[in-house]
Amino acid sequence: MSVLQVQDVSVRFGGIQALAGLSFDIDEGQICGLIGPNGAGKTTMFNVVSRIYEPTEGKVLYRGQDLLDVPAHGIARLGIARTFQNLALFPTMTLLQNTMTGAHCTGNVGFVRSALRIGVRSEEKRMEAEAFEILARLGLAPLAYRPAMGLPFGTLKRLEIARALAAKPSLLLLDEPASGLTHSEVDELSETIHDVRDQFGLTVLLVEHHMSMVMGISDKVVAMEFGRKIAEGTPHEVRNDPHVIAAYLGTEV
Amino acid sequence: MAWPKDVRRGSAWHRVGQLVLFGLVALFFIRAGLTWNRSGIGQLTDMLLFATAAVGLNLLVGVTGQISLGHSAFFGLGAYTSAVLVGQYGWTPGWTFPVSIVLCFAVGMVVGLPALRLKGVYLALVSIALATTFTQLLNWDRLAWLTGGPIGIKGLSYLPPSWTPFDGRADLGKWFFWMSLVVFVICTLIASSMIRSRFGRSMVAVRDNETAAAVMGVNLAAVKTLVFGLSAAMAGIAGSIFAMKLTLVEPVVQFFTLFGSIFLLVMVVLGGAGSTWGPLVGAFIFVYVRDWASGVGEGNGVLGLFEGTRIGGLGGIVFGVLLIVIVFVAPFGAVGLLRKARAKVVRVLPRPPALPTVANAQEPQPPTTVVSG
Ligand SMILES: Nc1ncnc2c1ncn2[C@@H]1O[C@H](COP(=O)(O)OP(=O)(O)O)[C@@H](O)[C@H]1O
Ligand SMILES: [Mg+2]
Repeated sequence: MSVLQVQDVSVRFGGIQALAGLSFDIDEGQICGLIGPNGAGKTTMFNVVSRIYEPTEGKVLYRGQDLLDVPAHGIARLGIARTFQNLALFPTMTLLQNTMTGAHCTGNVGFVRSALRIGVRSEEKRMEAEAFEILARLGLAPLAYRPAMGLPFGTLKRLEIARALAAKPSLLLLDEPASGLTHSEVDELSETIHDVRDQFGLTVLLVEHHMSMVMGISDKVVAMEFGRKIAEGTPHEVRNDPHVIAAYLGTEV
Repeated sequence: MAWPKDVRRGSAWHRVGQLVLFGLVALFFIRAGLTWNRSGIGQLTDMLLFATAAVGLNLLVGVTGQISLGHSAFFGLGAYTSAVLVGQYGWTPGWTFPVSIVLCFAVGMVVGLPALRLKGVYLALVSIALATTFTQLLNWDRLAWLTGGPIGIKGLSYLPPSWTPFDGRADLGKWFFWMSLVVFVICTLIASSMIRSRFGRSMVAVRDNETAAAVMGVNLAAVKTLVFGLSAAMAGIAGSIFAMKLTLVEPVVQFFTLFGSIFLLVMVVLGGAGSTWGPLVGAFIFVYVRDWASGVGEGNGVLGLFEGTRIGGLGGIVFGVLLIVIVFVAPFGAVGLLRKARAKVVRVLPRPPALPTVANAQEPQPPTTVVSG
């Protein structure tokens, strides 16, 4: 069954057609790689699913439900979490607090209960333990009580993933998670993504320029250029597709 | 042993330290309430009421990152609500307080609506408009039947009810002092509980990065309007008590004008925006340092700049310079400064949760920088 169905989605910014009738599906449990040159519209696609951008045309279905009927803050509760290519962390919060904020959609202490301190302690305890476990898993536990502000880019990229995982998503969108990481860190990250997919039965949509990484862990790859899909298939098929080779002319695919 | 000493959060020593600190503050207020003279207690009561309003403003500005220069309007709305109900309709003052709270909460939520679209300077401008419109409304003849217009409402009084240990008119000052202290403590407990909860994190998330907050599932509109409402309600109850203590309301009362908004904001920043104790420390510094500074010189102020602000004369300048210096040496306010000083003596180590599944090989590093909170 399809977890995410993107149907004919178009997005315009003034004169720029960022997405032009993009369509593709992701199946349950898949790791789907999304590749394409800079400006192809990959991040825009993420922002449509997150309900940050309103598409001019098209539909996005998540397990059959039209996401365009859901407000931006309702997406996380449906089980969709994401990371940001250019970091969108909470700089004054510690790594632990950042990760606990990622778990926002798993909690239920709202305005009244927080003011009267009803059920706060137990929820804090649970969120703290879960967040700490995720940080430990990504090797960030030693930094748990440091504010995010001022830490190295590579560390913060991993924090993005930790924060997304804290939401206990069933669909995880990763926007260039390997950028800024060293070679060995990239390998480690591939392993982590694979592991969490297997452990939590996640479906993953992965945007990445690191070709060896995408080709290595994806079950399926979608290639984009100028807001359109130019190829789709197994990593092997996409790698040898003439359109893809043309789009990446000069770079090794 | 070398300094600083390490203390684990939640350990016996940490608890003892917290208790001693809390006890000293409590002792100060109890002693003041029992032994200080009438004018001393009166000034301390004002300080507590400003601190109460600042607690609400701190939640809005310091924690949620929404600027407001309109809180004098809520302080004034609370004051006038009680004054009108007592002065024009003969209510018992105590019963007007819940009305003030609910009304200010509701108006605060409505006034918070612009914050859904506006940010920074634009939001500040709208809130300034609120503060100035409010004083205009108070002066408006058409509403004079209700507000008393420029004359205001006089002759208010709130004598201690018979169930209290206070002895009528003689203990009036003490009655207001203890009432204000209780209200301040309740508001601080609410704020402190909020800050340390899921809702509090969503407030900080809104301050730090709205887009990311929404993606995490935070309802931006709900958080902003609710916090606006709550902070208005805290300013409102403070205003209600303030009016009863003053025995009158009139449009020229400084804390009902834009000056009041600025003063409250100064308290929040002075104390340390975003911190739980900031508003109390900020209000304390504001009231007592301003008092001290105003004694430094008398007069009408340079070019009449501070005329009508009560910080006339050299005192205004002294206080202004002091403000600038404090903001420079302590960007996180007085509380930030105190934390830094404490860190030289005692380092509070975090207490990571015990994890059943993951071997927690490395001790987490203690926090290095002082951020708000
Ligand atoms: N908020 C925006 N306003 C204007 N143009 C945008 C905006 N976001 C993206 N674009 C444009 O849309 C196109 C696709 O961008 P993007 O989705 O970021 O590409 P990718 O992530 O594939 O590198 C680019 O030409 C970019 O300049
Ligand atoms: Mg991108």
